[in-house]
Amino acid sequence: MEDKRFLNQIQRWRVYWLYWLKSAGLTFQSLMATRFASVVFVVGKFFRFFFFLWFLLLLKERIQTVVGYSVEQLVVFYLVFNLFDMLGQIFYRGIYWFRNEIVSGNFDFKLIKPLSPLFQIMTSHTDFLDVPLFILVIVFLAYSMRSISFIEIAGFVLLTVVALMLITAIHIMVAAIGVITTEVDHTIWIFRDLSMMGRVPVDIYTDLVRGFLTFVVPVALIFTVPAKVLFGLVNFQALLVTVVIAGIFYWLALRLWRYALTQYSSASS
Amino acid sequence: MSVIQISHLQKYYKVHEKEPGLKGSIKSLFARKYREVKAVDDISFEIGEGELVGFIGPNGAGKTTTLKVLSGLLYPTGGEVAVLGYTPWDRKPEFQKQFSLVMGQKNQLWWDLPPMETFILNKEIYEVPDLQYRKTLDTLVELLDVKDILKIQVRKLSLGQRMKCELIAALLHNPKVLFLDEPTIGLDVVMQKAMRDFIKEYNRKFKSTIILTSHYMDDVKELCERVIIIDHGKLLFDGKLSSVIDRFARNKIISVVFSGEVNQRKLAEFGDVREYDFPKVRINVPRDQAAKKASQLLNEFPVADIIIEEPPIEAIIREVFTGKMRPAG
Amino acid sequence: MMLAKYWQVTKTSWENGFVYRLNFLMWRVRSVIRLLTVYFLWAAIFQRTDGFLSYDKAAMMTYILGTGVLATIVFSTRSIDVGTEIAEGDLSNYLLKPVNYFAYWFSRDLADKLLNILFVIGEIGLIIFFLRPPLIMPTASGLIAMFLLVSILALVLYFIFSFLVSAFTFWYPEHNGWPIRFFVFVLLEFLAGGLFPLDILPPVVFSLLRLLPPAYFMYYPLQVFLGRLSFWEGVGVVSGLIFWIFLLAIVLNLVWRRGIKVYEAYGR
Repeated sequence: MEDKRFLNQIQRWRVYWLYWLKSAGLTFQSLMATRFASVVFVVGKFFRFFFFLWFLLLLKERIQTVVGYSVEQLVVFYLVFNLFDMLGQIFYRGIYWFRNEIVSGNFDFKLIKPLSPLFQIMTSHTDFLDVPLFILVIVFLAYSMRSISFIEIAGFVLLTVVALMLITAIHIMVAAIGVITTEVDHTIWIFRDLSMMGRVPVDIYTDLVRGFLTFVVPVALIFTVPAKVLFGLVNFQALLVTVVIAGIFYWLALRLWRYALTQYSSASS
Repeated sequence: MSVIQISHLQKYYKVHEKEPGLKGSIKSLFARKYREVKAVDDISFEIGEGELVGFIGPNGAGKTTTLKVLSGLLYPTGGEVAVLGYTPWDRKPEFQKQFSLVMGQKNQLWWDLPPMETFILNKEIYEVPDLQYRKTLDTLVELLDVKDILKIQVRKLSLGQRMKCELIAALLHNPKVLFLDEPTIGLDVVMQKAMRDFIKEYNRKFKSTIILTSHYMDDVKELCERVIIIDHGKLLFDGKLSSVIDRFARNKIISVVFSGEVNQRKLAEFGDVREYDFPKVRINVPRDQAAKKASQLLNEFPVADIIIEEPPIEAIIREVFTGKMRPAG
Repeated sequence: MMLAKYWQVTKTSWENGFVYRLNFLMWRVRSVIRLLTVYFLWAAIFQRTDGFLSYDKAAMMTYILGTGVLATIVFSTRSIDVGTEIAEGDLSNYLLKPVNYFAYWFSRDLADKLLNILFVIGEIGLIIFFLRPPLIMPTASGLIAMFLLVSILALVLYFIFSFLVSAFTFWYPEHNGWPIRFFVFVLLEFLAGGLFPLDILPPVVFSLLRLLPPAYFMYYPLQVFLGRLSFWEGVGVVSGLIFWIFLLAIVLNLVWRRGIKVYEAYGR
């Protein structure tokens, strides 16, 4: 009996894998079809990355520290930000098309299939255009962190899982809000703007803002805390609190999604 | 045991109203007026295995809403629903693997891929065994005659070809229950007939339970023995199509071909002259007087040919919806 | 009357904005978030240092909050939709009507700017009230008049500039012209002086960038506001604006005419 259930689970994972493969492949094809546009995007993303990096380096000569961090550390904060920001961008790109899907009625088809509708929505597009910069960021980060200890690496890995969980939770909440009120176009963009606040350590913000970014939209937990772990600045209690908040957040997201479906009104024929 | 059971289903929506003009816009910023729309207002019925039932109703009657509740897309405001023993909006995979929803002019097919790719994907999603998949696919492809277009991008297919492939994608997992929402809308006459023939054949062959909504009376006349008439969210009639006439028709139509001159005013005394295209005339008369009036006509006018007919179902139903008719008797 | 036509366009645009009231409020929320991000960064930089190059805290905070206002005056726009209209063939609707396409969009942009300016004034007021940054306020009426003049010219310059970017869509209609628009946004984020005042850049870089149109969108109007320009430098800024406005207008005319020919060739 146990074996059968196990096999079934593997079978389900296989379905999800195939589904992702198909939608990712499709996105890739369309990127190749509009090659000029794709190149412009990739170049634009590189410009955006290097411009801000340049700004940070400009600061280097003029100032000692910003809220206690040296410019080198600020750069690491920026790299970690890019790492997780792009992970969300690469895999969950589909959320940007979600409103369209609801308004056109195509979401109905996703809902009636025996496959998590959330998964279908979020993976409907995979943004390969972020991959080149993503690789570069990993290289930079690995290089700047080449001499940290094992504990810090382990902590960082743990927080990567936490960050992914939080990013997923937030995307689920955005989807839920999209279902409840199709009028809102901007929810995911607000999250992106709030994320951008994580380009720099959240210590620069006032207590109120920092509290907001920790407990309401946990940008601090996704971007700042993992970077701090790399500097060995996070103690065990803080780590625990972070994991607990992430868990609560994820649970809330799923509840919100379930509620949203009861409010779903579907596009009229 | 019935396959579909609906008991006192209610689905209400809140819709907000806005006054026109700039003043109305500013007002709407502060206080919005909401109106409650009863899309489905206490509907109950049961459908047994293998039945092919038609939902008829004007736009906004609640047909599509009912189908969407049955599919588990919408949560009802009140009432109970069971399809194949499941509560649809639990959306259990075991339930989802046994039914299918097809919506006219809406595609589940992936737009930039050939239909074949969607078929393969659905096979995986619904976990259809290889052998069954191949058999079902071959049968459907042959029935619908789409062998040549399976490898062409969906975006390049005509509406009719797309609808056919839609049907295949929806039927690959041999659903026991099939919901068809306006499946023939926008199709040309030839394609409509092809769809109808296919649905009839599929129902006969696979004994699946089918609910069909349509604006086209021809769909309903050809396919459905049983019809459910819905209007303004309420169930007006549930029974055989043939009894719609008995239940709702108040008149019969006498079609006359005259062989000589007639006095139009005298003719008008007989009944409601619907069409006057001399020498052909159609007159509406109350049902119980039809025979008497017919023989009177024969006596008082030069008649070459005379028939007593039932009014077309379309006319009856139209009059049901516009409220002109209540059930006779 | 001609003006009545475009006034009606402005009014209808306003009304349309109300329908998407939630969208509009969201946009304001986003703008405030982005402004605060830059504000806090500079506030933190100034915690440990009294001066950053030629800027003291008051000057920099005024500059940053000023970018919030200037962004609304100059960048608020609906006319990025032009790219979509070109790509999807809706442009044809306007080519048929007796309306000047540019004037039409300018009217719509004005409506958008008016609404956004109302809000940004309130938002900046709240920020000043809660965060109490040191500020520099111009008192000389001449300075204020100059600032308004330069801002309005900047507004016009960006309108033309933005239309040029949209015109790209005639030749590259993929994704409604978004790729090039995205690229321009990335460039403007840094070259217009939104993240930092341009004169903190190395002198060589700065001497080049200050001649280009983006420098006039936010950087120069704010330099006027802060009183950091001598009279003749101010004249130079106005001249620069007028020069670029004329040049880009001529280029736009040429490009647009060519673009329309390409557009019609596709029979959209």
